[in-house]
Amino acid sequence: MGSGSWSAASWGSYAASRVHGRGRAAIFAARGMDARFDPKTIVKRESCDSVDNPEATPVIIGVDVTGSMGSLAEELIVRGLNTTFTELLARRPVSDPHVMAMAIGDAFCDTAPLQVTEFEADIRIAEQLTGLWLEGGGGGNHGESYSLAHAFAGLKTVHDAATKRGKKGFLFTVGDEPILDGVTRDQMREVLGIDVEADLSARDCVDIASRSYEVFHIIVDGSYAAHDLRGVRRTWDPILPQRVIHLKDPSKLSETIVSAIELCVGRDRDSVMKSWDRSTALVVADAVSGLTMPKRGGGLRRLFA
Amino acid sequence: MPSTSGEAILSIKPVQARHLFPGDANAVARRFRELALAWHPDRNGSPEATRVFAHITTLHAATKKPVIEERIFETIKGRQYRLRWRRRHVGPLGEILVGDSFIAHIVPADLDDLSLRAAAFRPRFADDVMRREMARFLPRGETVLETTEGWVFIERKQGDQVLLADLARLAPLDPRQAAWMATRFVNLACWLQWSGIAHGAIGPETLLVSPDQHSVSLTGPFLCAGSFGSAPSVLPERTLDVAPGYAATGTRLDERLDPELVRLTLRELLGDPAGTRLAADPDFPKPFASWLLTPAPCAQADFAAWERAREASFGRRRFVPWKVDIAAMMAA
Repeated sequence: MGSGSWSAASWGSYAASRVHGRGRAAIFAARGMDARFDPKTIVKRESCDSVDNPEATPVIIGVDVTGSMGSLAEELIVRGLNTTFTELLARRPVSDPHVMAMAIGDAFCDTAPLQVTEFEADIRIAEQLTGLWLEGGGGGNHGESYSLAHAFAGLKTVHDAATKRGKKGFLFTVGDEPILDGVTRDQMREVLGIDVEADLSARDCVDIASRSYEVFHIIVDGSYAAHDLRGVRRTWDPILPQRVIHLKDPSKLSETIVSAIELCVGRDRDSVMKSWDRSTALVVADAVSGLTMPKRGGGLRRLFA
Repeated sequence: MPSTSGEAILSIKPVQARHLFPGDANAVARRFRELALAWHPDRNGSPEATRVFAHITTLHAATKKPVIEERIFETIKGRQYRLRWRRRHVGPLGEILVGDSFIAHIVPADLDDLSLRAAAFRPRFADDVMRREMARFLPRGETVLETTEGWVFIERKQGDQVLLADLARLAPLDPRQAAWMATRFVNLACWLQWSGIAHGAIGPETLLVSPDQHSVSLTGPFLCAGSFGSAPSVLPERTLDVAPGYAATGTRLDERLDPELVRLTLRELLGDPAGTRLAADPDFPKPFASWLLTPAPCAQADFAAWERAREASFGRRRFVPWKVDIAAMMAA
């Protein structure tokens, strides 16, 4: 998958008929998981080079869809997807973006704790995104199964950026809750259709994803994080040091994602911030202030001892 | 002697030039004349003649490269130390010079504190049986020099041993060859776990391999190593790339790290550092791919998991010979 390319005209036409002026329930009309997006039955998701996209770069955006977090998926379809594609294509921090969307829930209590689209480079990603089921579940177990997104990305996606060019893709998970500590062996089999010998910790899952993706997490100020941000960070910071972003205004989600990618490929922080309008720059600069990108090219990194 | 069809010649890499040009200098010259006459575009009407002729010339040139260079180190006490080497690498721990009978790791002066600690490192063994068993997996006859360029760790090396980084140029390796290496690497990781230390830098620049004997040994100072439960002071970017959590404040070294580096090294040798392409390849043994992708809780548990994966992938253990032209590899 991943042929074609994003066009403002296609987006305008699609949004006029399917998105703008509609409520969340009308945009996301699914009332159950579409079999196309069931990670258990998906053998592999591929991001392949093509004539339209000769050097494809996979970008995965996985949003929490539990409880009130359905607003993230809405933000992504109403504004975020178009901004993400438009800015990535204009700024070109990476070549030929292929975007996959994920809906993330809670493997302990949801019917569909993970749903994944194909990697797409054109309007088909919008069509698939609106086909995701906003289950709105989650439980009172102080966390969501973001690790499913990491495990799926690391074990069930293949991309030419890695296999042909030795480059990583980008994986962003977005939500307001702590990360539950990993995925049990049973959940791996039941949700992802993968047999493993033992439970995987959240750190295991991040490590698995890190083999082929630059992994980030964006904490948005939903109800949980607003109430206990420190508790949320306590679960994320040890497994993703310097890769956790706290975004206070979720309407700047795409600008934050684009900026993080620009910083990750080595662009100057000040230049990236100045490229946005003033109000956006303020929000984004604050959000990515904790990101530290190590110098690439091997060598040793001094740590703390 | 390999086939002299155009396709066969074009498939030979410069590193393998000696396959096409075996023998001494006279034999190489004779062989070059034969092939040049056969493939010269003025004599050969094949549409690929120009390309094949150019490639023959490149391969011939590869056999003539100077094979030995010399470097003189001056110790801080003013003594000179001369090394005659064939291959040079720059790895995460510094520069590496590989000669016929030694391998030298040159650690830059700004890592003095780590060199000092590494020079003092002594491996532990439960008894003489373990010492004898494990000695072949560890650096041999180390000489340590404090020089004006930094610390130089020189080890003895047997002629049939090659730095894994050199062997990795043949990647992707045959899965059967990767499998015996996996067995050795896991053994090594088990001893590291028994010793209570994480090496932290297992990879192509810290392993010597004998394709002929199917043996491996660690090489280089234990610069990044630390006891389980201690905070890592330094780690290669390559390590943090696949295990980013070790850079987090408060994270301690543990039993998970070296098995993950063993897997990464094998995936690199198999030509797929991420590993997902191997998992999707119908010709690659599924249990092997699955093992490569799944993290291990520790090396000792991993030993049993690997044995099951190996048995399920390849059946009964048997020696699969692997002929690698070490001389040609060192000359290229």
